[in-house]
Amino acid sequence: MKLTGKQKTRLIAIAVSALVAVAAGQVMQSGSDNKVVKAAPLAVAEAPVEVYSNVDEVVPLSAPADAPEEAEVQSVARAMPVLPEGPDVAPLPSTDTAALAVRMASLDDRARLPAGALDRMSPAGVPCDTEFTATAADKGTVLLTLSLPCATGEMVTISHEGLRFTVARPATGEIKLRVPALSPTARFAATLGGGARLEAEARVPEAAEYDHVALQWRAGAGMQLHAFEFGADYGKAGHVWAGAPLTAEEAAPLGGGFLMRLGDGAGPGAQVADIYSFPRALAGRAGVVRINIEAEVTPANCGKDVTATALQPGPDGRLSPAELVLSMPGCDAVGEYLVLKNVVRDLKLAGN
Amino acid sequence: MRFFPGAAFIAAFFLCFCLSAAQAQEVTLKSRDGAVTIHGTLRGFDGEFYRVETIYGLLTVDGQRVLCDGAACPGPEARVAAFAFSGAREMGQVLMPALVEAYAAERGLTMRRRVEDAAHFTYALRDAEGATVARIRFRATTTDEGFADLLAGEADLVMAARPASPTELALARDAGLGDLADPARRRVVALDAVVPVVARDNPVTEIDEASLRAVLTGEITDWGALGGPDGAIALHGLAPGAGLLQTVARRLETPLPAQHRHADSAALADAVAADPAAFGLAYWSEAGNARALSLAGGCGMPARATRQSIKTEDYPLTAPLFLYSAARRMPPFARAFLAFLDTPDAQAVIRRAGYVDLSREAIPLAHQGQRLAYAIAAAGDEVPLSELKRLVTRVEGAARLTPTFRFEGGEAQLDAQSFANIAALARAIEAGAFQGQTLMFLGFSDGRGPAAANRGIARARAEAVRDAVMAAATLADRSHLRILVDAFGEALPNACDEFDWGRRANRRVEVWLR
Repeated sequence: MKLTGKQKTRLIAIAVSALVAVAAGQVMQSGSDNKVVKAAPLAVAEAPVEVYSNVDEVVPLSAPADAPEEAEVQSVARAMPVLPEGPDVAPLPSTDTAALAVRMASLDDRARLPAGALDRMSPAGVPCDTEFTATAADKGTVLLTLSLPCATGEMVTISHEGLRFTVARPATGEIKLRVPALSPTARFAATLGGGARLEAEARVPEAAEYDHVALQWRAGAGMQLHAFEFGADYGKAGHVWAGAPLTAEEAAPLGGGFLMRLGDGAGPGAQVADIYSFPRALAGRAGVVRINIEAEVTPANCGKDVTATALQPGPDGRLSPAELVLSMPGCDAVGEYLVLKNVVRDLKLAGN
Repeated sequence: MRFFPGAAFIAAFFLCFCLSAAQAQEVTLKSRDGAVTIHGTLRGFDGEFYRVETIYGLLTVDGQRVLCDGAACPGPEARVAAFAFSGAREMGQVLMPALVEAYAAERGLTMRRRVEDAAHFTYALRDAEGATVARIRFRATTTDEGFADLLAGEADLVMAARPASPTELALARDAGLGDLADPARRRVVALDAVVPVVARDNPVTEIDEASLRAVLTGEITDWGALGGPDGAIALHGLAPGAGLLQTVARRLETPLPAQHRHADSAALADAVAADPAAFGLAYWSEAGNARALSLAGGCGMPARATRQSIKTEDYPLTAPLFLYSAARRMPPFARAFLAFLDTPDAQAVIRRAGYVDLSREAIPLAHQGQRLAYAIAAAGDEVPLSELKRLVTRVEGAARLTPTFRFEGGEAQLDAQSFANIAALARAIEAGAFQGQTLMFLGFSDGRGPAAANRGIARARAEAVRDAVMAAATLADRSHLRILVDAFGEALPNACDEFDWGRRANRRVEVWLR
């Protein structure tokens, strides 16, 4: 059996949570919600997962992989209560020893609680459990929550149906985001700096009522996606862009769409995306929403090529990506904007 | 013009390359499993097949299955299908790029679009290994320039918003590009229509042919004459050279002056939508936020442009969008793309992009009450009610199919859209789409002249269309298909005979299926 990276992560995650629970003498409820996928603490995820090439042979947290980590956490461990090691020591004090026995038995015989497992906690004392959930929200959107208590300074790339953007991890380690769902069964993946990949899924039937177009680019390229609804002029009502994005709730009574700028990462490889969502099924208006791409001419990009990716509906209605290479005007045009019509097709609405 | 000299250079490069490759240079073609080896002199490589002179004679070898070894072997660039579209911006900006992108997605290719400006861009399509498969250039300006580029060898496919003119046909023949009027060289990609547009808050809803002509020629300058509030008409038009202008000018036989000129139909529609006094002609696909007026006939049968009325050409000002190709070899990728245009997937892309696709639709009799009501109201000495009864009996339980055959000014010459219908209908018959059913070709005429004579003309036209369709359906299994021809003359008019466009809409052969 060949494991995908995701399955490995999932397996390691379950094993680690169980071990931590055992060691702490607590009973942890394993998540039954299939929207939630718990993953290993980052340090574990960075371990060479190729070691576990077969499910039957999965040995969570092999000692060599964790060696550098142990050295670092030893000092912290000294201040903590010393715990007995491994399953072959005396039972832990517990109010529910029968349940504990079942849990113990379910563990692989060869599993050993690695030294310092208990120390996998953030400086704030929160366990280093990574958690990624997607919950359906109103107006065809999804609320993403990502808990990364231990991934200090980490960048996280979220991807969904070809849409990709990068968010910076705040000091709290808690990331909350609202994003449009691009299909009724909306699957999201979060890729952490170390390469670990988490997945979450939400059912969003309302997503089918929205049309989407998106533009994504490497942070710093200075791109913008503009929607001009039903003949709207620059800066007027109905001109929706990152400078006047509207929330889904603000847009709904106006019969128009909303734009989300996603991604606040700044490092190399960080991706930013503008996604415009229009409630085709709800608007009931005839006419056209014109979509422009704009790129600011800067001293850094003048006279050069700038790349971006346009996402727009393909033959099957799903967003299909096309890489764009734009020839920026010369440096005498710095401060001006390159405006491209028809690269992202307008939304034509026949009305009801 | 930094774009096409490049294309010419590449074409010239290929020509030189092929010539040098053909010069007595030995190559060895080895099958990928190493089992077969062919030695010989490379005579050519068309991006798909090697032609090799061997001791067994001239062999053609599939390039996918062999590895070429030798100095004469074509490099990776020779495997790239390079071709260029040029012509109407109405097709080049939205429709054709959407189709290219859809085709690339269907083949599992990733695409990169290099944008020089709105009119000039190039797609590079790559396969899963990252090798470039095709490089497709676009130049989206005007139909006139598209034909000029084809004649100059700078384009392979012309995006034309009108049929080629007699001058262009003659020039193409002289240049050795073959007969562009040949259906094999001229393909209808999608349908569109010309619509008079006004702002949404303009109270006028329809206009007749005489008034339209008068507005366009400047004889009518006030909205009051069109049934609106008094006020000057602001006339909007397109830049000279647009195919749409030529389509309309041909149908209305009038030049098209305008106070405000726009680069394309979308820009025109935006300007008109913002000004209640504005009037212009735009493409139906790009009417945008403006409102299209119905074409009135003066007898109570206004024609409104809808997907079905454009497919049936019951709306008078239809404008098929053409793709012309020269009679010279196209890369296999380009040929495969052209074949893709006939597929249901391509039709879905065309619809999604806001154009009228070519797929066949059935209109049940129940949806044609308006037409029947009008026919009953118009019945009289020429067309007695008994004739209408015969008609209703004939089509009872049947549905009209959207392909409808119409004729150019003369009597027998089918128009371009109808030519495309013949091929499409023949393909459907060959595919067995109507097995076990009855396909009826019903001839109709305009109301000029005596009814009996009109019925005779209508029958002759219906028989001619049937013969043309069946002649094209060479592979058809006729054992399970009933074909029937009937004629009803002027009995079921589609439009008023008062104006030329109404008479043209009435001279037709409809196809019904039961």
